[in-house]
Amino acid sequence: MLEKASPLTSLLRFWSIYSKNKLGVAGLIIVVFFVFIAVLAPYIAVQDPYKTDPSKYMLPPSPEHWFGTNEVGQDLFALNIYGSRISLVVGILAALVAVTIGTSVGLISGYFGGIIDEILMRITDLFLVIPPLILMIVVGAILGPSLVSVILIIGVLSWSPTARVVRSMVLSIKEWPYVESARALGASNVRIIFKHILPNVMPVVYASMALATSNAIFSHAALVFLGVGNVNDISWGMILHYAFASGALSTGKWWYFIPPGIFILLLIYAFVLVSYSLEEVLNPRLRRI
Amino acid sequence: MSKRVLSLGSVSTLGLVVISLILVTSLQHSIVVYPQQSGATVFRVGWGGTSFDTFNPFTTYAQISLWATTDVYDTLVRFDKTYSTFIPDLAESWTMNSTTVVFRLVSNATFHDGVKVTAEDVKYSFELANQSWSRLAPSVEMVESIQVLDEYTIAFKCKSTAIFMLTAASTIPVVPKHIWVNVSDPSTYPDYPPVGSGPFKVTDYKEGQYIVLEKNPNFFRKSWLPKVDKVIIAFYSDVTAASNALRAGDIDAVGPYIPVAMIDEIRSNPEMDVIVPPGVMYFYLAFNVYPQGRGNPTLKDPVVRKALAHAVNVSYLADLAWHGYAKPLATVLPTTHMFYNPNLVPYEFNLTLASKMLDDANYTVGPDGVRRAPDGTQLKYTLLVPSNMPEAVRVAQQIAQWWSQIGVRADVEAMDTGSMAAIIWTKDESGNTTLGHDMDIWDWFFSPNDPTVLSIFLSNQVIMGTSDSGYVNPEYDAMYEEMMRAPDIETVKRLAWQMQEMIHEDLPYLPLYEVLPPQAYVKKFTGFETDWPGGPFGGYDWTVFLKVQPTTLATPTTSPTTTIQTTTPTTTPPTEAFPTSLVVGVGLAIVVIIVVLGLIIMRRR
Amino acid sequence: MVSKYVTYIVRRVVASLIAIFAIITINFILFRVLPGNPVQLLFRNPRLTLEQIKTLEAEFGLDKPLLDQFLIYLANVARGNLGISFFYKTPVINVLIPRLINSIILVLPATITAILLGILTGMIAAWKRASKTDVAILTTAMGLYSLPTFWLGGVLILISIYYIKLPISGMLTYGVTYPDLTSYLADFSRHFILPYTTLTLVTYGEFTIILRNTLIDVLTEDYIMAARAQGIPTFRLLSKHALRNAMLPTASIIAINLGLVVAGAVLTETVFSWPGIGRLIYDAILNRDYPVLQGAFIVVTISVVLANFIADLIYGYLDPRVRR
Repeated sequence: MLEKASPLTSLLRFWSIYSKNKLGVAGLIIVVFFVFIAVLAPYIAVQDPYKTDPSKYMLPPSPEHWFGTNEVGQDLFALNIYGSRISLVVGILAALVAVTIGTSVGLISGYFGGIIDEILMRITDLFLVIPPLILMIVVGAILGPSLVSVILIIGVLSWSPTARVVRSMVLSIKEWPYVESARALGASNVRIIFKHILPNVMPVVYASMALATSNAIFSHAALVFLGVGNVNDISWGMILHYAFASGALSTGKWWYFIPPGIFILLLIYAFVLVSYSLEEVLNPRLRRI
Repeated sequence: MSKRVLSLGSVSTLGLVVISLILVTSLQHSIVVYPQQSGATVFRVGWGGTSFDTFNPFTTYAQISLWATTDVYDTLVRFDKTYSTFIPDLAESWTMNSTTVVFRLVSNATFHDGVKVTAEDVKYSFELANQSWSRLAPSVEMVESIQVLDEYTIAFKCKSTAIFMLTAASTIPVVPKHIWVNVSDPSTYPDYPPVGSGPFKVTDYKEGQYIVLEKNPNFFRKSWLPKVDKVIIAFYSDVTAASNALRAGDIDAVGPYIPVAMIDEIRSNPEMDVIVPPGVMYFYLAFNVYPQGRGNPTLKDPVVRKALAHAVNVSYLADLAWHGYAKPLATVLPTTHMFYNPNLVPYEFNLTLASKMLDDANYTVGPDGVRRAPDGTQLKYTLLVPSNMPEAVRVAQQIAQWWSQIGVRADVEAMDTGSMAAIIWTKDESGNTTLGHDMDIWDWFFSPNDPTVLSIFLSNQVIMGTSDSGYVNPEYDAMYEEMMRAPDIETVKRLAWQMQEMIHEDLPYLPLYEVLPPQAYVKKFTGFETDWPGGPFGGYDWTVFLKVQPTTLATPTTSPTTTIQTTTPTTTPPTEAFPTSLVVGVGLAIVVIIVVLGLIIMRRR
Repeated sequence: MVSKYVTYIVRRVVASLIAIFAIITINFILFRVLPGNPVQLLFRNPRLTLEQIKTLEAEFGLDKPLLDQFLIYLANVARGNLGISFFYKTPVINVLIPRLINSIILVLPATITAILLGILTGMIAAWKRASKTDVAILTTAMGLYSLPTFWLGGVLILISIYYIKLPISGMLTYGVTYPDLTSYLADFSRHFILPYTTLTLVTYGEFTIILRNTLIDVLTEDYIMAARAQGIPTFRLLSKHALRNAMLPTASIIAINLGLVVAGAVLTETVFSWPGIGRLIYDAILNRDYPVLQGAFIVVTISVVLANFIADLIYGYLDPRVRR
């Protein structure tokens, strides 16, 4: 059971547990690496990713173009480097939306129980039942291809797992003695939720956030690959979309198709590792790795 | 060992064993017989374009559906690859005066069920085509009355000139009245199998997979009899998948085109060939110039449009998007069209000139780098592009880059065509259809002898949902009416050229380039016209299946992925594709589920 | 006195029915809200008159008010009439069933293989907790879970083109006559193997991780500790006691995933041109083919709700807290 402690001590204590988890640390390093690339993209990628050149049609890697060129002569290395930006931003923001909604729903549902709980849980189940990718395609067609709408779509259709996890956590926290005593002392519901329950739910929320980010990155890449998302912004999914559509895949132009997939894989993997490690921190019985 | 582990282990092992079996059988060379062995020749073409929808010729909108039935149904007349000479089909001869055409039909044509084809069938077909639900209705709109003069003679009286009657007659398939008259609702009739009088009949069809056409030995015109016994049209999700199938030896030709990326590789394969036929499709950029439109009003200024045109390098775009398999275009018709005006040239690509034109017209550059009109409206536009055409998206992005250099900002938005259409044709407050966008890039493709192609610029076309430019010009409308009443082809052509000059000057559309569709086939087959507009495998050529033949009729070829069995030939195809695999796959799965669940439940005891 | 289990079942039945109805309603609204009018889209033809467009709209029933369309639709569904496809101009059922079966043929074996392999390796990982084996299995599973489906498919295509030379699209070679069942199955297997492998690999990771964690959770329960103190070997603990308890939540997840099988696998089907229902749904969205979309969704949701229901039934039966 976590008692109240200063944020700094909590963080340090958290870190001392987390850092023992080699996988988690590895994941974190990868994430930091990609953030670094995204922020410093203009300095890492020497060429202009937008500049076209019909004479450089699908060239293999060379000293001038480390990852080769695409079907309109753009430098693939620059495209991949800049692609990290959208992939990261959309992933994190969409996960943020999902987790915010999910946490709210989980809190309300778990705390108040009764009919509210029933209704909210039914709605949550509903969202779990509908195949998410399909629904995203459909809603994507409605809202149009802007960045904001993509973030919203992914976020709004991914909150169910977080809601469930937060709800079950809230259900057990509700029974803790010091929460019960707070209620006995006449604390208002709002106060109890925000001061007592929410801080103790946060660890689960963080773990959920990491997992939601990995799912969001995948969903975004899949949507753009299918041509549903915004094929205009540079992202790894967009590069794969054109790699497939331009026939590079079937003609063995592997340099077009392989790198973006590896980057997506690494970034998702990193967040999965982080999420798994966070779960271990929370669930001591899973530790010892 | 505990029972539980034993059972789980055995279940897992069973599963793994089955999987290994599948793996083993799959790596072995498959044993498939190509019907060549049994004396039958089969030509297989793969289609990677828009999906097949229905066999019903009156309700289909897919080019592939038209192509599949083009040799199953006959028409009165056909055309050759120039689209200007007409060839007798069901009509062995015809006479024409200024408003009437009389056709004399052949007397020995029969439908696939043996019933003779008569003038009654022709009349019935045209009347069906004229129904409001039929997509062919516009083609027969010119017909005022149809008269059956005798069993094999039929007269068509046109509302005005008869010069387009032959073209119309070439698009209406003759369907058997004795069958269709018993159909309760022809507009939803799936028409399978389609009964026509043509040199091919449909003998098999798997939705989403393939159509099998077989030679009709009773076809009345022996010189048209197909040289192969069977044609198989296989559907693929896109041209890439179809091209891969070609490389794997699954099919003999690919339509409607092969991806540019694969051209070099297929060319270098000694067993295959790539042809580059003339195109029937072109891409353009449309400006919303509709007077009541909701787009950026600066586009209504012809100077702006001209300046923007000078800031687009159509040659560069043709190269960029299609790697050389496109030709820059200066007019709104492809070069294969009978009205194509060869005298027009694209606007010169000159960014300095474009900038100067805008400066002179008082569109000053604002602090954010975007020009604005004297009233403050910025030259900022949203450019819509279909997302299923990646080349078009590239083109849009390139255009936006050029325009940003002259102080014009275009935001490219790629979306599916349904959403695009919804934005373009929208409703205003009073519920009238109007144009709601700024500009879009899209394509058109036309049959080379379609006389109505220029109608997209008529003033009433916005309401129709076809005009995405909203061009309203009474002078143009008048010229079009005149053209449709012209007494001879020369007048038609003259007026058509003039109309194109008008469009070139007014720029509701900025034509970009026409696309040449590279197509590929295996050299084992030959005989078709390689320069048919749209290509032999583009879906427009009605002669290709009649003319295709094996290059040598000697030995069947062996491809690395098949071996040929010399047992007695069998012609019993597996009629249903799923029962056996269903039994294997699903049955196994169900067994496994039951076992696992059973074990779980049993363990409770 | 009605048994608790029966009450449980009844509640589940009611919940399932409500869910199905809610989903059907949502589907209808959602697809109607999609911008774009199928008539406009399909008939982009300069020569249709206004009259013809209006007639076509009436044909498709698009001119009636939404509520009427919805009620008519509900009535039809109850009667088993899923309508006529806008695009194919044939009854929706005729379009759905073959594609559905094609999807099941692909996705079901893949899911089952993934489940079986997942259980196996999950058990091994939990048994050899914290050992190198465990770490290896865990990181591999997580890695596979992170693999983008369409990318893996593409990589397999690349490999196949240059090395193994397996077919990379479709379900069967077209128009070939098979002399016997073996060659038919062989041809099918050759087309099947790549998409099947892709799907299996991508689905496997999730199961391994879940089962491993659940098992570990169970293994650290007090009663397990007590049994171990009594000297019962770990392996027997694992297989006899732990697995049994771990199967509870796992069975639910398995059932749910099997239900989702019906949804097809859009990404895999696209990359491999497998003619399944996932691809059909995607095409139908682009074509604004409402009847097909609605029909497909009904099929998918009913099967998922059904799978959930069965999972709940089993769970309820197995979980003594519900039964007694």
